[in-house]
Amino acid sequence: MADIKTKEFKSESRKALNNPQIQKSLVRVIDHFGEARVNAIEEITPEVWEILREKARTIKTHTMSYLDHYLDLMEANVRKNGGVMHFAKDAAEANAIVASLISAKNAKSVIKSKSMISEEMGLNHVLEEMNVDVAETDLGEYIIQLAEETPFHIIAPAMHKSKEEVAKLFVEKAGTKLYKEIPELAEASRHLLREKFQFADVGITGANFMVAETGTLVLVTNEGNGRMCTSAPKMHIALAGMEKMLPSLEDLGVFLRLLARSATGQRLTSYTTFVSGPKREHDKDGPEEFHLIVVDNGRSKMLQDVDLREALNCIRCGACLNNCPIYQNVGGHAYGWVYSGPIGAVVTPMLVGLDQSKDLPFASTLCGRCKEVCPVKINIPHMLLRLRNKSTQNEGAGDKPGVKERVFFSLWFYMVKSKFLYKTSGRIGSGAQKILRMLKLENRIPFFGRWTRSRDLPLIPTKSFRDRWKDVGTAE
Amino acid sequence: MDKKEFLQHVEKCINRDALDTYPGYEGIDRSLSNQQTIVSEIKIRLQKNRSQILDKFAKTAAIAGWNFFRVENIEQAIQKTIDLLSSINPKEVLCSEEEIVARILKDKQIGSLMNKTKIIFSDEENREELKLTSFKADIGITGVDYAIAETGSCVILPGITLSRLTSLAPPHHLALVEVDKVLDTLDDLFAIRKLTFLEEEGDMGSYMNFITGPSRTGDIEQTIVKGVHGPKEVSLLLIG
Ligand code: SF4
Repeated sequence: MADIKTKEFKSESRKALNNPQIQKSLVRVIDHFGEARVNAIEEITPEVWEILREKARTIKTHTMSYLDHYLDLMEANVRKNGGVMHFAKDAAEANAIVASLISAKNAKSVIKSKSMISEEMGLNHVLEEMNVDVAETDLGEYIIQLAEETPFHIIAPAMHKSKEEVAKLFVEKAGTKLYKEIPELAEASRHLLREKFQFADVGITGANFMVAETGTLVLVTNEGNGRMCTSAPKMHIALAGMEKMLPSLEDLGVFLRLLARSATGQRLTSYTTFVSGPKREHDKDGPEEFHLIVVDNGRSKMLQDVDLREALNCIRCGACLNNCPIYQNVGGHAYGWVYSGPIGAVVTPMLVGLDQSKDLPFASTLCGRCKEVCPVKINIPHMLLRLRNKSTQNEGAGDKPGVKERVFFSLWFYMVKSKFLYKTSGRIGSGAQKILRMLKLENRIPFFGRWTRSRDLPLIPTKSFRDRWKDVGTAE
Repeated sequence: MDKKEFLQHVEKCINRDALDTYPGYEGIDRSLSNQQTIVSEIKIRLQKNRSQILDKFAKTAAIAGWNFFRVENIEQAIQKTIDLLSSINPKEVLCSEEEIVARILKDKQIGSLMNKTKIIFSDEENREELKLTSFKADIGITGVDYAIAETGSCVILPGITLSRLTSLAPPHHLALVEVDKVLDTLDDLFAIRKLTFLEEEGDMGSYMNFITGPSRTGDIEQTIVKGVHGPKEVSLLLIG
């Protein structure tokens, strides 16, 4: 598996907040994607948009309820198309399958198009250890591969890098000359990767969707590297989380309309590629072998929990990231693993363990923007609450509440049960708060220091609710 | 993990009620004759609304980034192709083998006017040569199987007459689109493809691509740059 740094959420967030380059990039990306998405929805009309979202949610809910059935159907159809479908329970198994396919072919060079699941698996390391030359071919992924980082954003992995940083990376790691402009850098990547496209033995891709009815894999890309990886090499290996399933071909009408608009604001991305097995005998070109590896890697745990199952409906559009007040400030790396933003805060604890990532479900204001913008209407705030609950109940070995918290709540419980204590403590509290305010010490309350450092304690009213109720004249 | 074990585990995790059996799925279960009815209704609708659909396609294709041209007949298409090629001045042109491509690119006028240009048809080369030519050619010219007015896309089904690389590897792609190839919506396309799937007893070919404008990236500072790995320039000639 890829390195997990989810325990460092707080310190990494602080770093990101103090990094001017990251802050600048976040503002740019959020404005850019935010505006594009809003315009795209206007164009299709908000009414149609809502209908599509509802349909998508219905289709996905159905598919997840019968996922075993659809995986079975998919396998039968991939086989019928002349391909092979493999099943991997975790990252290690998936890596082993890829490794054995590559060794059997005696392949020396691999081209990869963007795949989040291969990030989960840490596949590049495995291949490098086998002395296989592996090149990420999506420009953003290529940049972070050179920089040895994880993606900063689901759909714009290198959005945090300035063009100057990219230019420097190209000089240091790819041996190009020092370019100044973005088009020159894109052109340089075209030349750097051309030869690899021509001569690579194996193409590895992810999958945006799998269609069970026809055994088809759908890839949505803008650069053309996905097409290259599925056209030029002799073998195509596709990796897909098992939740990428859709029942039938015509469901794509709904999902393709939602995905590009939510992600980049396009009607469709430049390329939508449908792969149904290896090349047929008389085809001019295309891979002679096609392998699809379907991976669980913790997804069945989400399937099992009815409150969290809908996280599997995610189509990885990135809209919830762009609209999240936390992501907008701390960016992707703070989340410490492959997935970031609101959906990352749900998925990561389920995939790497809540004990490893207990801060993530709390990295949300629960404002509900993510739910509003999600094209498949995933109720992310609800799931974050469920995970917080799990964490404090110590299911999945999250933290038990600390001593201070437990003492505070026991005392609170004792106090609210007694009319006298409740009334008296209210009065004392209000009086004490007044004095502290006069001394300008209202934010230095013992035990509440961390809370009040960034927030003001609400004013305790001088007159209690009971007293005001009496004044209204409807006495108890 | 073997398939059976994997599926059993998934089933266990879903934990359906004992009475909850698979209810079927309309999109999958539909019969061939019902699908034929759906598709014939689509065709009638396309016929009826042809001119609006073509106007819509002209708009969406331009938005998607195609250099869009419309001509009335083959004669004009040949003329337009000559103009286009002259402006690019290519050394090598790689052509696919669909009928429309042959009708235009094998025309005598093109041969005599473009004497410094080598025009290669993909059936003249074996697979390895074709791959090398694709990466060397200055422009790839193909027909399309369908086009979609809703999105401004061309749909190609690479196979016997069309290689996957012809419309991808050269820096310029020219798509030749006859008006009767233009569908209205994504749903029209999927309905027609599903019919093929049913008619061909479960095989609809190995590959399909929607091409919606040039190759592009926004991966550095969200600045859109055309032509990263695929064509920088894409031109579309709507014929008829
Ligand atoms: S949770 Fe919804 S909004 Fe967020 S990435 Fe997934 S599909 Fe997009």
